[in-house]
Amino acid sequence: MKSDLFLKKKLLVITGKGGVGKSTIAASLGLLAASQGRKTLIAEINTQGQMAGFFNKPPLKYSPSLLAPNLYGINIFPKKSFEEYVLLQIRFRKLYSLVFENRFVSYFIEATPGLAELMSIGKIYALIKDYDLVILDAPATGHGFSLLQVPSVVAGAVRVGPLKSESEKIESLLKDAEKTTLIAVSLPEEMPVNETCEMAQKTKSQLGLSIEAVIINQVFPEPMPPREIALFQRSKKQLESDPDLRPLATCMEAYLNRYFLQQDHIQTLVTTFGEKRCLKIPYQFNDQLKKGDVERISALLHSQLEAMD
Amino acid sequence: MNPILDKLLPRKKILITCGSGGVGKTTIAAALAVQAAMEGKKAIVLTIDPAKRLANSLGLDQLADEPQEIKADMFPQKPPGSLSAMMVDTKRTFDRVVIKYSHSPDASRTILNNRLYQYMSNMLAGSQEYMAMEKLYEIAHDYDYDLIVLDTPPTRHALDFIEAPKKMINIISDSILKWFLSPTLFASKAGINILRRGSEKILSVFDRLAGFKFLHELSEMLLLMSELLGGFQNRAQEVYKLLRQEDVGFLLVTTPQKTALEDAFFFYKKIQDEGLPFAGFIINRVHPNFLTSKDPYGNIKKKFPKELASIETPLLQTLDLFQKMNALDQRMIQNLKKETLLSRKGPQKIFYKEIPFFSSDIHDIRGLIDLNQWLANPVQ
Repeated sequence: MKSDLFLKKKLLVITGKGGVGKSTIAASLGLLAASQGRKTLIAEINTQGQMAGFFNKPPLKYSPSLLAPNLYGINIFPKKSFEEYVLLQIRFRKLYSLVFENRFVSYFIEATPGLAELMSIGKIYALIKDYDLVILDAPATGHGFSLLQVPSVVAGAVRVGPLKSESEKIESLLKDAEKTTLIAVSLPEEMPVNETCEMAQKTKSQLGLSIEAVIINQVFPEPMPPREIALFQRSKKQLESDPDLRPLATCMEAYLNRYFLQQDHIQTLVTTFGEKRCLKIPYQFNDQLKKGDVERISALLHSQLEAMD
Repeated sequence: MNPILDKLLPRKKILITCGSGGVGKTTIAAALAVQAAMEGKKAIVLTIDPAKRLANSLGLDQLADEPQEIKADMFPQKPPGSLSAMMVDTKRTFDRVVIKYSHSPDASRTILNNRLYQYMSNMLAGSQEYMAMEKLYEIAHDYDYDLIVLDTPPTRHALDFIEAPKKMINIISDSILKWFLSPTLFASKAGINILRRGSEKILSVFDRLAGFKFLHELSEMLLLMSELLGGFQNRAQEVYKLLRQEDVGFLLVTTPQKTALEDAFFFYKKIQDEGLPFAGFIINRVHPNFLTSKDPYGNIKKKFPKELASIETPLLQTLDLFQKMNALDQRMIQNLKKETLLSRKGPQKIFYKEIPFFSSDIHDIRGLIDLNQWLANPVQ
């Protein structure tokens, strides 16, 4: 699959466990799509708006703002989406205030299972017509899943009315592989790898969606060619015997342990999803990722997406 | 065995580990419980996470919804105390809460069979957090563990967890629908009459949005749940008191990464504001410092064996990279210390323990015991 094809979709959903770097990947893919001339929107849901930090912009708000040429960002607050949706249906601001700015009703809204998720995904659905591509930086795995699941559940639970028809429309968008693509972000570590495999099974069996690509983040690069690694392993004892050289050996050994362990975990993902569907992003040895890092990751994703068939 | 817990967390009987996702909370919680068993205590770890690896490392296929004692032969040496583990199953705990607080078996059956309840007990905002509290209370009261370690659900919104019992009550007691379909129940409450005038319109709005059938099912469920309210309210009071006991300690687990630290600091402030007993920070996955001497690079250059010239550069580069990461981590940790000291309320002692970034995964109890040695490290 060529990257231009990949990005020809209408909706990219980026899923993954907390702390794996979903936002970084969403930002990088957004930059890539925008640079290919697609008007792109990155959507966060109910966050502190940190996405904008990658682009040196103030935190994202509920109305879309420009992050880079051709690239926009939005922070979706379910409560606001709910208000918007209801106003669309009843058309009277006064009636809305009477009903929904009431304390009792607020609790009701909180109590209604899945309503926040439905309103968030509904907002995404409404935004799609204004952009060539919407990239959803989904909440961490569990919540990301309920976000995708809620339209079909609601469509099943509610028997008639606008809520049902809206849910059905959203459901058919999510299940349309021509328009929607699911991307998982993972780390080459045991728990995230297991969760990614479980998530793939769950989305397939319960939602009929398959994960198009797995982006493996924070991969330790090979520190030196295999022949040199072998040479190091043969001479480790010699280096360790000198207190001045010992740190070199200890550090490289720790690095290699981690490197080989990572390779095993990557292999699990490769076996499950196929070599070509596993994209690798090297560990960024710095703390706060800046715009330059996102640009670099974007270029790395580009070349690897090109290699997909 | 070095009495680490008695020194670090004297007189604590309940430890609650908090933090954002992916920082190693579950592993730390398990390690603390293992340590307690090694120090002769009867310990239990409660987790929300269906962490298969944790179960496996304790010699179990899966964690069950009730305490399971870990076999002594899973330990490298027989522990003087004992260790149990369990996973809180939100749905099953919720079902049990319903049965416990219902007035009659018929009433609880009606709730349990309600289609929306079946769906809601998993999805209702905060239900996971509420059930964790419920389970903690139950274990604290019905059993005689010396130490309970609760691994909380990963949460970016720290308050969800602390406020869960309160929130759950609000949802059920104040829901408009209950008032709506059972006006006599709350007729005496002030302000209701003003509201009632709008009721016709409210009904029509909901009807247009969701359909009456759905509305009816939802209100039926909430009405049924309102019967449980008394039980819920009492329990919430008790949990509130329990969490503020002196023998409780909140621990924040974080990594030295900026976003994780920000979450941890936010949570720390909340814990202070709520008057909850805070014990300390455990900073996981800190890049270690490999260098000990003052001018290592000069000596390395001089002494590096000629025959290994082809690996000199990669070795130096890797060491350099880790030293930079270590310096960065240390700067972040210093910032955390400074900020927490500034916003500290009261004179309680806070500890900051660093656990290095291990070059292997933890697979068994021995690994958890090794991890604990870092809690004993007096250097920090």
